[in-house]
Amino acid sequence: MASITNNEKILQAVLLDEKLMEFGGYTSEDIGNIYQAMDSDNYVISTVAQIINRTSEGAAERELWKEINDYLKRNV
Amino acid sequence: MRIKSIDIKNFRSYYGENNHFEFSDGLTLILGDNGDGKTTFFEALEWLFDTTSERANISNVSEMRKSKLEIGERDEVYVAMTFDHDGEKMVEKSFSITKTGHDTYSVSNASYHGYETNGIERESVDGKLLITRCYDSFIRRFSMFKGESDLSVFDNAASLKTLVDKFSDIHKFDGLVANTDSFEQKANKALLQEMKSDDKISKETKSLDLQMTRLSGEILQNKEDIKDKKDAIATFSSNLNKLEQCQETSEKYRDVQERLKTKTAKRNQLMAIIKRKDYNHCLLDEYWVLAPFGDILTEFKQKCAALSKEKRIQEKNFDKQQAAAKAKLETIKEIQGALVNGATELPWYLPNQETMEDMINDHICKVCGREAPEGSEAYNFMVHRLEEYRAHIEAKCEHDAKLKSIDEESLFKNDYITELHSLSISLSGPEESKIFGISREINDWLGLVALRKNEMKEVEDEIQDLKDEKARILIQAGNVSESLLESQFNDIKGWYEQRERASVRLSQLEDELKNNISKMEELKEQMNNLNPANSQVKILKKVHKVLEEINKAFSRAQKDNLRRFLMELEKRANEYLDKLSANDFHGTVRLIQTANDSTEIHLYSSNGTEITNPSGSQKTVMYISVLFAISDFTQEKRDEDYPLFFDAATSSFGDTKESDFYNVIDKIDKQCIIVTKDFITRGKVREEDINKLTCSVYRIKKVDGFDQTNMATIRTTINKIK
Repeated sequence: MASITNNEKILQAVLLDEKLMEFGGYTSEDIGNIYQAMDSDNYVISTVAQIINRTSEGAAERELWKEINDYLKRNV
Repeated sequence: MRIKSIDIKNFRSYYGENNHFEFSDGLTLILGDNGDGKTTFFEALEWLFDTTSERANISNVSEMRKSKLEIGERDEVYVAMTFDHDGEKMVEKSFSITKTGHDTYSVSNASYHGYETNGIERESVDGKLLITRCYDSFIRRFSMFKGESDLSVFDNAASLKTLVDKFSDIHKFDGLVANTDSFEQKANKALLQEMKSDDKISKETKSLDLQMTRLSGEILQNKEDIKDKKDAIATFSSNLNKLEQCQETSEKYRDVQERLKTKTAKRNQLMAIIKRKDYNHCLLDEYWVLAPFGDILTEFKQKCAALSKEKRIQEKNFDKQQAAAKAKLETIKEIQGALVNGATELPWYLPNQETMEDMINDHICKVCGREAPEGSEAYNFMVHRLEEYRAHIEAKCEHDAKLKSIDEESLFKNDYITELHSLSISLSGPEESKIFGISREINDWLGLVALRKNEMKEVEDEIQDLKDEKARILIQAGNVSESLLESQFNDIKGWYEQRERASVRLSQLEDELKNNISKMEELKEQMNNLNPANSQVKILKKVHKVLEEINKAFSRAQKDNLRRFLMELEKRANEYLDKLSANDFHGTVRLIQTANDSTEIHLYSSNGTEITNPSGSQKTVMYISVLFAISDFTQEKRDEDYPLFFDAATSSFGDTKESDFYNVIDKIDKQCIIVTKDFITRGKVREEDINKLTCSVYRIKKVDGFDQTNMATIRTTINKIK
């Protein structure tokens, strides 16, 4: 649970950044929890959530880069 | 980690094995006067926690235990601690000592082992690994403080940063920021690669990329140079500030050092005087052994004089008796010689024996010429006369013998009394004076030594005061080294010039950086405005932009998180500062981030003025407040809670501040062990003050009756007061 709590805190801290919200075109209500964020239609919200979640799971940087890069190429 | 108990056996002044401390969750005070074993307790723990060496050290052995060991006998020295840290654990460092000769010892069996409870099983583990796992050196550096000066660890800005990194969530961002940074670079690389392969914009892309790569190098170099210059300026400024702030302190320090030197020389001089005479040598070489003989001689003389006097009296009486006896003999003789008619008879020896015998033989009286035939009256008269003569001779012999006997008779047959008296007389005068002189000399010397010892005690007290003053000055001076305090400000001009040159260069570098960043923005704009033929480039451009923005957001969140953490830390530190110095001016703590992301602790007045040279006690309370605030955060994460140890943490505090400090710390929800001489006045614990506290209190004390010069007589005892 401690890990989830920390991930949620980090997610909020990053996604509530005003400049990122403006760039991503989303509001605070669109964020939700980490799992909702990962499934979000907004690729900025989803990418941030995936980076946080997969890093906390111990994913290798190269593996994560591939996942994020593929996701973004498909969704931007 | 929470310490439950500590046991010490034969470690320095902690003789034997009944040295047991138990600790509560909150505050535990260990009270002791100077030399009672406070620092030894602290050093016993330092020895236990020292994972760099397991070697046995003979200097750690109780001198009392060493002195009581028989040759061939062995005993052990250990310090052991039981504690909770994810279950109950125990760690013990020990070694054996054996007396091998009259004054020689050997150490062996050095061991450092631990135990931990794994479920219901108690497993033996390596003590070093256990301590490294549960209470590593980094944590110890911020939880064990020997004297106030140890708290200056916070003067190092990197220390607080490391603490913050360890005890906050800041480090959780590190990996994320590193990942997003890497993703942004990879996306950029992929984008550039794709653009370079696009025929329409390939040439421009390569040219712009080349310019951007070169410019990136220059910007990076600019940033590094700026950082170096800022660091240099900060160092020069810091040193100059310290020198300026410490000018007064430095003067005080040098004054104290000078006085300390003088007093130390005085003490050595007094010590040399006191030790000038070796009493063992003086006993025989200077006849000190005769010191008590003066009184004996006086008594001897008195007795001899009395005996002599008595002898004379007795002899006088005796002489009188003798004279009387002789007179009596003479009187008897006179009475015997008197005739009936009172006429004087002839001397008895006339005629003498030969004449008498001749007349008797010749039967004639040759005095009167008459014949005196045998049997005649005249003849009988002559015979009678001869008999009388012979009787006289006999009587005379007897008389002479009696006289001789009287003359020869003596009351004292030997001259012992006379000899004694003569000896007594011979010992008088210069000899007697010499003996009394020895006694006087000893008394004079002991008096002088007593005076010098008193003087030395005063000097030693003064030396101690000066050392305390020096310690206070060093605490006030903060992390300014003693060598800096000793400096004569010769370097100040050079430092000012170097700082000035660095400032000029910094200004130039900042302009260069600004210019290069502006150029970079232009190049990026140009790159962004290129219109590729390949649609893939457009997608990669979008991917890069998204990752660039996400990377920036993560970086900002990381900085914001650190800022909020420091704000909360600052708030809590100020709450403690307020409590710990309720009745004293204490200012406000501010945690300021520096250019190189370190954090410095500063003290400010409420009107915004920085207190650049806080007093020793202000500084101590400030650091302890920050320490407690950090401790609050660690406590929130139970697995990283640690006890705090302080040895003489409040030596610069006044009575009021001391009282406030203990009242606050008594109620703090944190394990804290303080070894102090506070609450002790003239060797007695101030029970009234102690009773106001709720914490556990131990009194450690060296056993009375020790020899001030013999360490083997020193032993610390432990008494739990409450």
